[in-house]
Amino acid sequence: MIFKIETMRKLFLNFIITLLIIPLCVSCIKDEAMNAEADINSATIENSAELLQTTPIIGDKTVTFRLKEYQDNYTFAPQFTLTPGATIEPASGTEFDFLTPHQYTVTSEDGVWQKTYTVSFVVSNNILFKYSFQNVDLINDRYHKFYEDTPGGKLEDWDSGNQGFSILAAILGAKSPSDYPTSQTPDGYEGNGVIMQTKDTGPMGATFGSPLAAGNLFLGNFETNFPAIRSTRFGQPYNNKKAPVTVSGYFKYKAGENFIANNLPSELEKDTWDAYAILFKRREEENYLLGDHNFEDERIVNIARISDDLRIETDEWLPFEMSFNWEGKSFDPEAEYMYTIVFSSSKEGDRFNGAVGSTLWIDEVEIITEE
Amino acid sequence: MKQFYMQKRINRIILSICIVMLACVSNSNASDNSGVRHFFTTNIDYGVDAHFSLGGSLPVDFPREIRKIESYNPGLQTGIGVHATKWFSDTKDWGIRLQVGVERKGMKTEARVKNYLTEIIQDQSSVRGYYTGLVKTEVGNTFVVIPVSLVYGLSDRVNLYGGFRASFVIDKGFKGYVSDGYLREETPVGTKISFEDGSRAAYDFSSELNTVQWGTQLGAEWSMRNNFKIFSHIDYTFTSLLDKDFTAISFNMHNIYLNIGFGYNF
Repeated sequence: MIFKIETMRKLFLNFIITLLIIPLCVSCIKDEAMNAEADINSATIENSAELLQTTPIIGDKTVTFRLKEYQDNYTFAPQFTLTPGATIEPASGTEFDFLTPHQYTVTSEDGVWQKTYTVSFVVSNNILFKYSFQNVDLINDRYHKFYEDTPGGKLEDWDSGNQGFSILAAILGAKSPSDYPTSQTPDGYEGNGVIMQTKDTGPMGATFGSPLAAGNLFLGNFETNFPAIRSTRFGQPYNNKKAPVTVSGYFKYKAGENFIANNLPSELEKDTWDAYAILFKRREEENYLLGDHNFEDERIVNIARISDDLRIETDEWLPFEMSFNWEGKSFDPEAEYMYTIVFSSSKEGDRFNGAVGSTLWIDEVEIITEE
Repeated sequence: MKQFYMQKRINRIILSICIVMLACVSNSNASDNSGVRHFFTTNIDYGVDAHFSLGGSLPVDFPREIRKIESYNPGLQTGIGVHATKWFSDTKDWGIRLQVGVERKGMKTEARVKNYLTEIIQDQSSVRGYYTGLVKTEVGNTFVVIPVSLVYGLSDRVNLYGGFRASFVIDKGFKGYVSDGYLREETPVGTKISFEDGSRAAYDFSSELNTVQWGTQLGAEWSMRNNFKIFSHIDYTFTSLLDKDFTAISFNMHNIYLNIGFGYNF
């Protein structure tokens, strides 16, 4: 015998102890790594309540301050809060003339990652209240986003679900902006217009709980979020002293062939389009309506919605109108309101019911106020 | 349905193992070659065994991305096998053992991660990015295992054994979902995709498992009077659970299990 029994017993005991210790050793949680993200989490300026229509809108790579009125002097010193540990260049609180937008670069705490934001100050006087959809930016070389030119920079009043769709775009073979649910078309009623099309999102879309994507366009902002219905954040400041009466414009519509109801009950057997406008009260935090508002939010002041006799298929441009009914309701010229207009190529697209291929064209949207 | 086929498959494997063993034994009996007969009849023990396993597929060097283990459930993992031990001498001090077995190994975990490079995969398509939040993982694999061990007789009752083992995966399962967190697309500064209110995205890395895994095992067994024995061993695979070309998980994971069971020697 090579070992004495006693030695073997010791070895065996050691073995048992090791056996018990290994699982403990393996599960040691290490020190947290430094942050790798480089986000602007919030932004503000001095006297923000007096000067701004709403809290600054922070997009993927943009920060937009919406001024209540045109200022003679565009010198501001915006302040930012960042991902903990991150740094910003130029420094938070530096004064600049914002007649043109400025670029800021945020560097992550670990120093590896950087993100460049475009910071702009814009005024939307809403004097014309008319949108012709002539201008688009190509976001990340992938999809369209509409904007209006204003002094100080681009005003991105309208947004769509394109950002969310772009997660799946490579998989679905989306190569050009027109492969996305919402894009600009040169064949508008006058010049360019908007084309919205309900798209299949493939098996991956189902994984994300979004079995199809209706083409949509709304006044507000989109932040990719799951459940997907929480991504659409409706509302822009209603910077006008007169009550809105009618929203008008032009449309064309073609329903897709196979209507699929992913979430029952459904009121439809054939796909149709939707358009509505909502005026609602402003609040300081979370100043928007989510996609699942269901017209029931207590902030809602008035609603205008397209009537059923306009939910038709047409190859020719037809005018549409939807009106706010002010009977028994009042508009306070001194109060601050938010408003949104929402278009969708599938009426129940918010619940992922629709027909792939349903297409809605929209152009020349106008908000008419009382005299 | 899949479960049913799996069961059928396992049954077939067990049956084949039994037939091979029987064939070996009967063959050696029928043989005229006394040397071969001698080898298979003298100083050799045949046995069957069954066990359950407790453990998991763990990163040996715990990565920084894992911030907290919220829950761990070993589940009921079992295995069965047959073995033959050839002793080198009448005193049964040293011997060599060949085993063939089928075992089920797995676990369920829930972990909180930060900046965990991952990929959400569905039907050959994927979304890749850095995830911060909750990750649920469910591992369940069935292996055919062939361990070869050196056995040392510590006393009349106690044997120690240790050696190498080859494992072949016959049923693969490595999947789960992410929830209550956010994915940064492609890089930590990419577009933020948030998962809230119990919303989740599933992933399935089952097809990325290494089919053949090499490992080691070490343990001890206690014989009782009536040919029964109880045993315990740990096994560990050197081979990473997931294919090394697979990058959706930024660290290697290895199977490590504690097994407790009983056996019967003929």
